[in-house]
Amino acid sequence: MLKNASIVGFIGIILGVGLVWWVRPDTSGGTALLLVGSMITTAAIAQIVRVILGLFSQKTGSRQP
Amino acid sequence: MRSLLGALLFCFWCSPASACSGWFDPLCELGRSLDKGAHDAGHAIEKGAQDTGKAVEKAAGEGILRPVRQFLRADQIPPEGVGAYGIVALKSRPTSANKTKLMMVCESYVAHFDRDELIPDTVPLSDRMTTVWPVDNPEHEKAKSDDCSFVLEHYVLDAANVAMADAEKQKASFPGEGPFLIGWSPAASRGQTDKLVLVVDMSRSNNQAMIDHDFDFWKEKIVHDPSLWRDGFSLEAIRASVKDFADKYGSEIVEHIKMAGL
Repeated sequence: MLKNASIVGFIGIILGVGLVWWVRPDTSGGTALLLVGSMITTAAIAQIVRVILGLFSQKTGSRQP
Repeated sequence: MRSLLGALLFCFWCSPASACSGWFDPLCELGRSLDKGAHDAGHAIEKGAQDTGKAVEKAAGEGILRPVRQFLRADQIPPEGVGAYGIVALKSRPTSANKTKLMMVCESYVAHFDRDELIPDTVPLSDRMTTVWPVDNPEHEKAKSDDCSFVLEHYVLDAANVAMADAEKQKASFPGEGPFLIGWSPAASRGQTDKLVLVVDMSRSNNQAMIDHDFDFWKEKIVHDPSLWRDGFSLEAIRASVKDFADKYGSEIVEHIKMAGL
């Protein structure tokens, strides 16, 4: 679980750095917002994907005799 | 090897340097004709390539529009002969609520474009992109000296209303408070449906930096390459919006965190 969280956080930071490079904000607040925003967004997407995969695996598991 | 030798012999027979005499003469004439044909074809291809090069060069030169500005009366809009033109469309003359913003818009407008008179006469009208600020008296001393208070007070709202109505025919919409930069490229396309209409909405630009960004965007991306802005979609516009959003709210959040003492 901790490993997954760190991977998600790392992906979020990478995306955030990419976003900062593309957007080139003028203020440090803008940079921080983009980094934190992309980390939160990545974490939320990861959680949604996890829930969907969990539901899917439950569904396939319930079909087994 | 045999074919190579055969080809060499054929070339020798057909070369203009070879003598045409005896029973070989008909073949020699044929060779000469072929050589002449190839020579002419080469010339034609070369000339075609040169013409194409010139055409590309000309097109590249014509592709760049010179952004200029003009204070014009409503009856002078659209300006005749220009390659493309735009209008700064306000929804109202200055009130106590929007005066500061409109002053910023005017200052940005004056700062971002040269007056049309400053562009040398060697630049044809068709190579100019004029951004118009409609006023009732463009010949007035204050208008000529770019007095923003004057040109705001003497702004002609009817010109903006007509421009917005024409742009709405081309599926543009103006829900915000504005101001808007509305452009047509080519200039003659105004009022026609399914023609390119360019709109920059400054409704959410509430400080000088954001308004300057809007004018930068207008000048750089729209004037130089209108195709980037077809159908209102542009990656650059998205980038500018994200940047403005991050700068505004990021700074505010940092301020709030500092105030909370965290």
